[in-house]
Amino acid sequence: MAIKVFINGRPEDAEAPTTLPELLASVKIRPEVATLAVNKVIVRRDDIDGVALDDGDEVEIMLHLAGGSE
Amino acid sequence: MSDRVRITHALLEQLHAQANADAPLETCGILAGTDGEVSALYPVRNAAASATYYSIDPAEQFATYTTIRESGAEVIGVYHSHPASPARPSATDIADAHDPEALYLIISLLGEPTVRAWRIAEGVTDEVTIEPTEG
Ligand SMILES: [Zn+2]
Repeated sequence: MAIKVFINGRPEDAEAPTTLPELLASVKIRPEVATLAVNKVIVRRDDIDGVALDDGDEVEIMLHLAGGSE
Repeated sequence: MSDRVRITHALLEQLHAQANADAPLETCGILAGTDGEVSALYPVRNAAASATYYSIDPAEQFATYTTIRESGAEVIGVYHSHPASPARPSATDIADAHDPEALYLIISLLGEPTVRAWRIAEGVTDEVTIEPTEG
C-alpha cells in the first residue's frame, strides 16, 4: 500500500509499512548526522529504529549544523 | 541550485552587528529565503560558546525551522562568523558540513569585515557569489 508522508514540508510517496530508518535510507541520509522529528516531536536517537510511519506523517530531517574557524 | 545569492544591505548590516556583538566568540544562525535569495536571518545561540567553533542545539534548530516554515519561507542554509580568520570554509567547516544543498554564509571580522557564501559537498567547496541589493 502506498502512503504519503511529508519530508521537510514536501509530500513524498512511500510504501507501507515504512520505518524511519527506511525513509532515511531512501533519501540517503545517515541518522547520525541529523536531528529527526515526526509530527513536531523530536525522536530520540535510541528510538529511531522503532518508529513506523503512517499516512500523512510529517517528518522533519534537520542536518546537524556545526563548524568553526580552524 | 543557484550559484548566486541576493541579500539586502540591511541584512548584511544585521549580520555584521550580530557578529560584532558576539565577538570574540563565533556567532551563528539560520538563513531563510528561497534559492538565490536570503530573506531573513534567524540568530541562534552558539551552543559551543567558542571563539573557534559553533554548533546549533537540535531543539533550537527545530524551533527555528518551524518558525521559518510557518512564516512561509524556506530554510536555505546557515551562517557563522570567523572572528579572526578569513571568510573561507575552514577544515572544521568542511568536515562538519552534512548538507550539500545548504548555503554556508561566513562573515569574517579579520580586518575589513567580509561576507562570502559557499556550498560544501563531499569535501569540496564552491563559492556562491553574493549580490548585495538595495533595502
Ligand atoms: Zn567556519
